[in-house]
Amino acid sequence: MSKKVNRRSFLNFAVKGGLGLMVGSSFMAPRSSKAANPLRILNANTFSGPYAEAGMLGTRGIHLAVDHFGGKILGRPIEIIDRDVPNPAEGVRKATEGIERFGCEYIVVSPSSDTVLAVMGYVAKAKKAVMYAGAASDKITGEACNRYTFRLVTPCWGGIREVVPRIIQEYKANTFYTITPKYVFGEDLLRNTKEVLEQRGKKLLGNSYHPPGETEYSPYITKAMAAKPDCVLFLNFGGDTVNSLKQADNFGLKKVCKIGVVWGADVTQLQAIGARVLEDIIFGIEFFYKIDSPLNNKLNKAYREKYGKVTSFTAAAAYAAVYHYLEVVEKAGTTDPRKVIETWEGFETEGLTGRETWRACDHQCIRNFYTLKCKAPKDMKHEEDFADIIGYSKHYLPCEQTGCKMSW
Amino acid sequence: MTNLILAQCFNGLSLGIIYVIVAMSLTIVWGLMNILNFAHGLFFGLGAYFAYTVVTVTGNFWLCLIIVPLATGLVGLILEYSLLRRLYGLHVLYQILLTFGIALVGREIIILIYGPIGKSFYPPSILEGAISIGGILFPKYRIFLLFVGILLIFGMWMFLEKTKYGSIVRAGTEDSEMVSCLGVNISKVFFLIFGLAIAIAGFSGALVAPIRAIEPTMGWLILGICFAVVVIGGMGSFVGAIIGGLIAGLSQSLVTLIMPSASIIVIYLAMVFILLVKPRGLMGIRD
Repeated sequence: MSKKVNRRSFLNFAVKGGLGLMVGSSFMAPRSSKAANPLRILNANTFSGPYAEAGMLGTRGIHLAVDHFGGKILGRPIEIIDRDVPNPAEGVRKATEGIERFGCEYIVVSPSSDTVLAVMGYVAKAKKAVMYAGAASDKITGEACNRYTFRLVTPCWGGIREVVPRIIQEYKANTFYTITPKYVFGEDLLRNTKEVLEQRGKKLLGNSYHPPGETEYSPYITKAMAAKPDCVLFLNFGGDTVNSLKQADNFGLKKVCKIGVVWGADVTQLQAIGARVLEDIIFGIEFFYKIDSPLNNKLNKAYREKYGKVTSFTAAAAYAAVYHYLEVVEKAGTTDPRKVIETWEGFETEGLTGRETWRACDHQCIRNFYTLKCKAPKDMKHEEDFADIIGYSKHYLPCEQTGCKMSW
Repeated sequence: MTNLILAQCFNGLSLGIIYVIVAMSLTIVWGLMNILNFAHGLFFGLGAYFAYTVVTVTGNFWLCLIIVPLATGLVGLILEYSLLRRLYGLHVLYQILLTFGIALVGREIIILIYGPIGKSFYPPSILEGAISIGGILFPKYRIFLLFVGILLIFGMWMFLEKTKYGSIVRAGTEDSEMVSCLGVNISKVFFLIFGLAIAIAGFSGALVAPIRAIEPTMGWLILGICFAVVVIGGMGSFVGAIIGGLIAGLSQSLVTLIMPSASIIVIYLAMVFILLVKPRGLMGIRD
């Protein structure tokens, strides 16, 4: 039996429907009308799973950068949209949502190289936003480069050329064994490590690949010890490094050879490993809170006041990604992607590591990479004083060798 | 090369023991209660976090080996009483949905309480370092792990084979309805056995915590392998869990010598092979 539509039911429906539309529309950001709308920045990071820490720390850095600009740029309030991107497919989906639905004009993507590369492809086609690539694969400013993407972190080529020679010099090591995760980043680290060792006449006795996310390293450590190298180099990252170093300590690896970690993640990683295991290990790292520069000192002070901790690299990189974008926007006088890009190319500024330049040919920020030596627990002045900086330098492939060819 | 193979065999055994401990508790729940517990890995991780808490507060690793199984067991009992028992007799999809949901919620609760940043603590000083025998290094902690694992397995075997309660559990694994018809309070059996199984899972997490990163997703990584172990050994089979766990540990360790990238895949390949050749598993119980 059909229901008759009468005045009462019609009014009932209209009120409920109207209320529903009002509530629903409040969740949908209007298309950008730049004069009225905020500048939206998409924070595409991992907020769940094994790399959830990256999302938390990156978000802190981004918010501090926005705070340091007073929450506004060119008279427009700044709004951050956080999205979880645990894999490349989600990365592209969320980037599409950010640009098409929310009108985001800047996208900060990290930490996976695979996700960054996938989103880069989309951003280059969309041509509506500028992107920051928070990953270290050589391809990002190499053959996969595009005009819409900028990168702060040092690529593998440069980082290895700071830390491996430093390890050779510190340890006086002649023979090496490497333990490498089998994915894009690990392969880049291994290739570059082999090149540096060969250039310096040092011998690589062997390499063990492991799957990323491996939890059991006993077979790889046993193989490494059987090869009897002067130094075992761990080319893994994040949780893989934590697991492998703890188990290496359990096997007594430090008693038979030296240990180097070519790509440390963060001070939080050092915390997860623990000072006793870390003692005397050399780490290569993008950033350490002890860097003495005006911007880093400013960031350190703000971070400690707000979070009670020293600044982690993940937070610092995200801070720099947004801080320098806002500097460029201020200089360009607009958020128009093309004008921002043209202003950013060749931009020189006081960065976290001192004077930094954003190279025009591949959009790579030219900055220092650092080597740390970890302290004995008794030498630590506070609970986060795990290491001291023992060296730093800048190494970047010349423009003509990067393989990067950019166009609009 | 012989030394390397022997060393890998030892590593494989110590790794396999962990798989055995987690898998035997999983197979008891699966075999007796017919519950496909996707939250089992969560309790492994919870055990590691509880161990971290106890060691941080008391500085005593030995104490955590007593407190952790009691604490995780209690969590298991609460979950069984409040949620799981509503699923008995229902379609397996409901079990998967609920236990998977518990696993996801549990992981996020761990992140909320402990943070996403990994934790760490070390083995007691008496278990640090390694012993060299014939040029092969045996970490003391892994020898301890092997020893404790064997003791636990023996204890469980004694419980299942030599006690009245164990015979109820074994009978229930074959036919829980008949056990119920014979006047045994099967709900109480399920309640206590689930608590015991979760206590064992938590205990295994505490055992590996000193030599692994304690992070929120550590349970997921072991869960997949332990499901494969249970399938290889046979659902509900205690002996099957032992054989399956040791096969998994040894194959993972030895395959690393030839093809490290295949070290985990080989466990799943073994599972596929067993499913094709002997679907009930190596020691699975025939209907």
